[in-house]
Amino acid sequence: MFKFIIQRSVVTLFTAIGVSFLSFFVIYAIPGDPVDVILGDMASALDKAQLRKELGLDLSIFLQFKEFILKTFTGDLGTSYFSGRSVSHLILERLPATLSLGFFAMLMAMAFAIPLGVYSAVMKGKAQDRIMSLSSMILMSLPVFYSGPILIWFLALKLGAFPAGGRDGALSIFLPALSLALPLGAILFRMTRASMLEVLSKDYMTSAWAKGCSWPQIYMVHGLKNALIPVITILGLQFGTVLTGTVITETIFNWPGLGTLLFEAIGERDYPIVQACVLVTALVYVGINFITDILYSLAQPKMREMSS
Amino acid sequence: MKNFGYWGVSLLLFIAIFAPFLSPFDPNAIDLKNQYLWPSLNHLMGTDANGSDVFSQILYGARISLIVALSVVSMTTLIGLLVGSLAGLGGKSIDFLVMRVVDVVYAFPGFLLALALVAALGPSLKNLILAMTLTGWAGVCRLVRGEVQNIKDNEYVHAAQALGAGVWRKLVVHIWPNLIGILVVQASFAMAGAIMVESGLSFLGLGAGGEMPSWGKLLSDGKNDLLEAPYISFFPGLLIVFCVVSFNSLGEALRLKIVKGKVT
Repeated sequence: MFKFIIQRSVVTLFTAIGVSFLSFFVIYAIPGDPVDVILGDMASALDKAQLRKELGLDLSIFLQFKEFILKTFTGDLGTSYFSGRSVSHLILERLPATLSLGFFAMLMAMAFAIPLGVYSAVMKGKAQDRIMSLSSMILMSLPVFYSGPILIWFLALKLGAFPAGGRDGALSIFLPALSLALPLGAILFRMTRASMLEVLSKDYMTSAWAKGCSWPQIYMVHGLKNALIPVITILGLQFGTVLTGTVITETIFNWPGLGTLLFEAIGERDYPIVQACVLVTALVYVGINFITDILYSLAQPKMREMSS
Repeated sequence: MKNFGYWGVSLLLFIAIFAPFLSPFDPNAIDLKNQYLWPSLNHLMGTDANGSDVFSQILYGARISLIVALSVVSMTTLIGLLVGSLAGLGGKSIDFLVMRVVDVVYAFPGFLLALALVAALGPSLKNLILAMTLTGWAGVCRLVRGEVQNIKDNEYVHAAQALGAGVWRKLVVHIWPNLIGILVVQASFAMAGAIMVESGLSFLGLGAGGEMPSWGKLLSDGKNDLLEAPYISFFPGLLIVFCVVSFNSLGEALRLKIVKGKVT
């Protein structure tokens, strides 16, 4: 087990460096000079040269990347071109909102997807199962930029049950989280159903029936516990989708997280912020994948032997 | 239901190709006297803030979605096929190098990378396709590499090699034909994904830009008029869902066909 964790950590570290290089390079690829963006076209050549030196833009790309990595490790993500504030502060201010939205959405999705998935598997082929499977197929393809406006229109503007946007009070997380949870829940539902169907056909289920276990014991203890393993993996993989989904969701619902920060920064061409938002989101994603790998191997020793 | 994917995709292609003949109005015509008309027989899906016909915009919107998705998917498939074959056949060290690059691209949330690239390069049709291609090839590459590694140890490939076949002949004649099925299935699912990413980026104002109406842009315009005109948001979203479900069912149908073909 220990060897496996070390192995995964090394791979994750390399991936993290690669991911940092990628987010660094994206901004490097911008046509034109960032100095022109900050100072405008009217600035004198002297001012430009000085700012370029201050920002370290006169160095070669490798030196710039080295600088970027070193600074990132010490938590320094640069300063915003416009507000002059430290980017790490801005990110730390916004990150909790995004993470709470993401986790709440996942909880919501699990809360309806897993019980319904088990129910659907038990009812296989019946009308309930067919209706749920068909709806999950449609919900899976429901983008947040469609469900978001529809939810706002119906639940916020028509019924007035929830606030239409912002982060104000406990109810305000409900709509953005729901729009993220619908497609996620649909995928989890399908995964739970498929996995549960496989488990239900196993011999140990028959022997549990034969032993005279009650049905909650059979479905929950013998069935669900074994069926959940692949669901955990999907959950980890889907967290990336949720994280990127928050960019759109936050702009729809005016949720003050990383997504809105990124969106505003793109509009203002405030590249250090864009770079940092992309980097932090990608690193969180890589980190979650690492944790998923470890959890999965704890739940499934076979997996561990295979990779080592 | 079984043929939903075929019919859905055919219908979408038909709409995209014949949009100029099918649409009753010029999608970009500004007619301020007819702002925010609710759906009626004249304007099937109503009109938007400029008085433009939403139905016509949606028909034309199919073009941009399909053009972007088709370009991206054909390019990612080609790149994935070439690089994946290189990794599969090229020996241990090449395989290691290529797969580490693939790992990094794959580990990056694709939508976010595409978003950052379009934001950096500026929104245009070319940049949109470029950004989505750069982020999408890694998945195909993994798939191809795995398949190539499986196939290359078959006896007929060894036989071809013994008879003096070069790398290209081995690939083109003996290995790639085996990949066609799996690549078509993958492409179908990738089309659904690409349409989703394209509309998402357009929604954020980072799409193809310019005059061409797109579903994502329509949705983002409609978002500001939810109270007076919810129908502006309702129809383009419906089309996106229809599109994604169609390509996904097509992929699923093709996949089942291949699985059955292998069994018998």
